[in-house]
Amino acid sequence: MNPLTRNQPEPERDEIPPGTLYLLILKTLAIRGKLHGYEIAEGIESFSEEILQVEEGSLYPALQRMLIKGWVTAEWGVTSGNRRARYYTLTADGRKRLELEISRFERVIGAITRVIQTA
Amino acid sequence: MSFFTEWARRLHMARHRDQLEHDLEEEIRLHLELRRQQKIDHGMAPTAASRAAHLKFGNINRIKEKSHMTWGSEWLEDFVHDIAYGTRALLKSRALTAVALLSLALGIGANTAIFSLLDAVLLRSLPVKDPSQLVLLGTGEDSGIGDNFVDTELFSYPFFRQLRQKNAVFSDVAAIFSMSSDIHGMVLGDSGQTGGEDEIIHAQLASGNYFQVLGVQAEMGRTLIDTDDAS
Repeated sequence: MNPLTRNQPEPERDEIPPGTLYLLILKTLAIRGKLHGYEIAEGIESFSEEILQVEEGSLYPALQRMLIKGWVTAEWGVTSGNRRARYYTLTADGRKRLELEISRFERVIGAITRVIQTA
Repeated sequence: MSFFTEWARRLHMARHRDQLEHDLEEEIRLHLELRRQQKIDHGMAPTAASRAAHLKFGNINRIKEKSHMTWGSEWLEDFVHDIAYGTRALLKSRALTAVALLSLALGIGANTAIFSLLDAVLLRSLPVKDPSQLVLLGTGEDSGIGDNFVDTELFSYPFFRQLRQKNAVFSDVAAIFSMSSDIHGMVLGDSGQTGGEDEIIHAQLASGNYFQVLGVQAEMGRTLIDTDDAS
């Protein structure tokens, strides 16, 4: 850990649970539409009210994989700050995948919750 | 079909590596830049902001590597390298290569020869109407004589006649003589001319219903029929 960052008054954050990165990216794109990588990272953190923390770099290999799978498409555009950026959009396949990931996640979370609440 | 489109994209990516690499680097650069700017806007010193951005981003080299693996170029590159290495190694020791190639060629050739023989002798079914229904009584050796005792390899003609008369099992029974009689002769061509040379003709004495039982037709004229036995 860099000592400089420790001084920052940042809220306590949790790493995202393994296997949920695709779900979070897909959902963020579904809400916001067309986003570049940085905006996706910001989106995930702000939607989770700053609790979830993404290792931001890991977004990029995930996005590459999603491109191959055909869940998203990418095109180069220009940011509001006039910088060149690659914007990602959800495809129809991506939307289907999102539904699948959500139902899978809810099943797992539901099961875990039941285990925890067993007296 | 999505399997094929996925592989099409993979191949496309493998072929445009430089472009992908360049794009990825630009994306990462932009990301770090934007994060740094955000930290500065929150009142961080520029060097600290730059560090914080890198920290939040993670190991850049590892991320690039992971992306490369996604592009599917890893195995492709490995494969090409392996082929190149193998070729160089083979060229370096030509004698060994020659011996290896020769033994492989001979081995494959011998196997093919043996297989074609087995295929013809054992595997391919007889060119008769219903090979699976055909039963051979005895060994089918083309020579030999029976004895006075009960013999299950060779049968006498009267035995055949009896078997055929009292047959309740087979659709029909035919017989061939247990000696082959090869003769020499010339075959007349269509125009009535001979090939010029004597050739061996395999002749076989058979019962009149022989061709009928096998379900084989004559190419020209007719085959023997049952009534021929009477003449």
